[in-house]
Amino acid sequence: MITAPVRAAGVGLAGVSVRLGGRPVLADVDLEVVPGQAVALVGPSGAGKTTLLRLVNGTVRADRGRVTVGGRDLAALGPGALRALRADIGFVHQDLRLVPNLRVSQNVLSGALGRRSLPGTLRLMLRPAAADLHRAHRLLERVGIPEKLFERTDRLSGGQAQRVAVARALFQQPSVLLADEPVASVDPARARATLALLVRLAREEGLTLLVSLHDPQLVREHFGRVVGLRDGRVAFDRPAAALDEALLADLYRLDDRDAS
Amino acid sequence: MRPERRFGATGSLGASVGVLVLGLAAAWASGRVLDLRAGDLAPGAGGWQLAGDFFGRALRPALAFEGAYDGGRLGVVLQAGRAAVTTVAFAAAAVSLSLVGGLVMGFLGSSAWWPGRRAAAVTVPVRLLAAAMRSVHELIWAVLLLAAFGTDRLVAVLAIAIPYAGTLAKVFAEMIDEAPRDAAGALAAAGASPLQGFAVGLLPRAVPDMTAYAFYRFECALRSAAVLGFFGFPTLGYYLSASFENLHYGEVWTYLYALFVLVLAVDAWSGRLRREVTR
Repeated sequence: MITAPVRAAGVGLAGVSVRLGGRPVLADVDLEVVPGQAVALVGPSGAGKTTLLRLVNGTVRADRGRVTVGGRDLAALGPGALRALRADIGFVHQDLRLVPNLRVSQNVLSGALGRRSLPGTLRLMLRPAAADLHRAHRLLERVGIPEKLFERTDRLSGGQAQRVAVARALFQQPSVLLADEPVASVDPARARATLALLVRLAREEGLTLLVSLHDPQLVREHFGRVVGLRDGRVAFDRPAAALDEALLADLYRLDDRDAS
Repeated sequence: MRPERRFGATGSLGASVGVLVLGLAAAWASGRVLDLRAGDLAPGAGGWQLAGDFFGRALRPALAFEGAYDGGRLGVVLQAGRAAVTTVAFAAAAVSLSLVGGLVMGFLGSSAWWPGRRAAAVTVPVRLLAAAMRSVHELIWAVLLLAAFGTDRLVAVLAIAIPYAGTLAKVFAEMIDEAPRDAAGALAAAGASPLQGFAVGLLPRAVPDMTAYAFYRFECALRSAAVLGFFGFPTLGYYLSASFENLHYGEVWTYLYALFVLVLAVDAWSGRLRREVTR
């Protein structure tokens, strides 16, 4: 596997616990992702996959333990430094979170807001520089919908909108790309294409990639490493090729305590 | 997707029935309080005569003046045209002023604008001010301002602009607060400041509704400006009331039709612009 050395940052969680609304969501999680690595997160709903991803971009804070990105401790960052770090981390949300009545170009360009001033933001949205627009166009080419550059975003199909969300995250020029169940609501063919796209782009850009998903087949096809989460704990952490049915059955087993 | 507020999917039918029952009960109760009787509405012979004269001219609006004044064969039409232009000018001046106030106060009064819990310190005073401005009707503002400043044209403009700014502030704040915040949140998670997230992720989703509402208020302002003519401002209402007092019903209809055409024109214009905005 080619790992571009350009700008990837490693991600580290050490003894991390998170409680949300009084409920423990993650408990004593250790995870070390080296720069440029692609990691799949699997586990039943409520296992803490989304929370883990949100820890990495600092939208959820750890109650205990240390979260580091590129060697920097997130808890030690002030608001300004945290924003700068977030500008360096792309996030593809399951529900995309695009602005439906803006053009595709504007949604893609909005990925760069973390690095723009307020006047720069207005220029970017209303009269973008040719260089920015070209870069947005090239990204849309790479995700396969260059002709949609000036389309209104709510005119796109679900699969096309998802590609816009990916392009927006890449327009950030991040060093880490996070994707929360990007294939949970698309058909199998589209799911395969989307994951292939994410993994290929991350490799080309030299990004560290963390993706939460459910399908073991897709994990084996696209990822080198898989981390299983259950009840907020790391159940296993191994090469994706070693992901077998017994492991998954145990990970996804219905809890007797929940049933009773 | 945010969960539906106020009524859930199952509760909405029950709530509608409840509101309907409440409305009927209120109608009955207020009828008792005001001692309303349908029979009281029966007009006398003179009333029937006047109504007949007035509505008889509906299909025959005047072109020339009906009184002694000779303004040419199309005197009233020209007068109505001039008054219509003045009415539009008053309404436009008032709405543009109220838009400035409404936008500023609407932004300050929306909680989406303010990160964290400090919001109430700003939003509550702003919302109170807006409520105070719109709780006084434009006619009462006109009376107050006329007493203070005399019949300066700015008085009419301010009389409309003040309560309208209060209304716009309330509605704009609600539209901003009800716009989905998911995209703004996503931008903030990618390093954007709250203000950037607001401007790019949230505001664009409120703008089509805000534009449509501003146009509707312009339509309202046309009526308000026309009515302020009763105080002597040279809008359609001024000529309309003068003609009515002189029993020149044909002229009254000409002015009424002019108002009707104005409202239709604004409606057509705003419809086109709204399609542009939402396209």
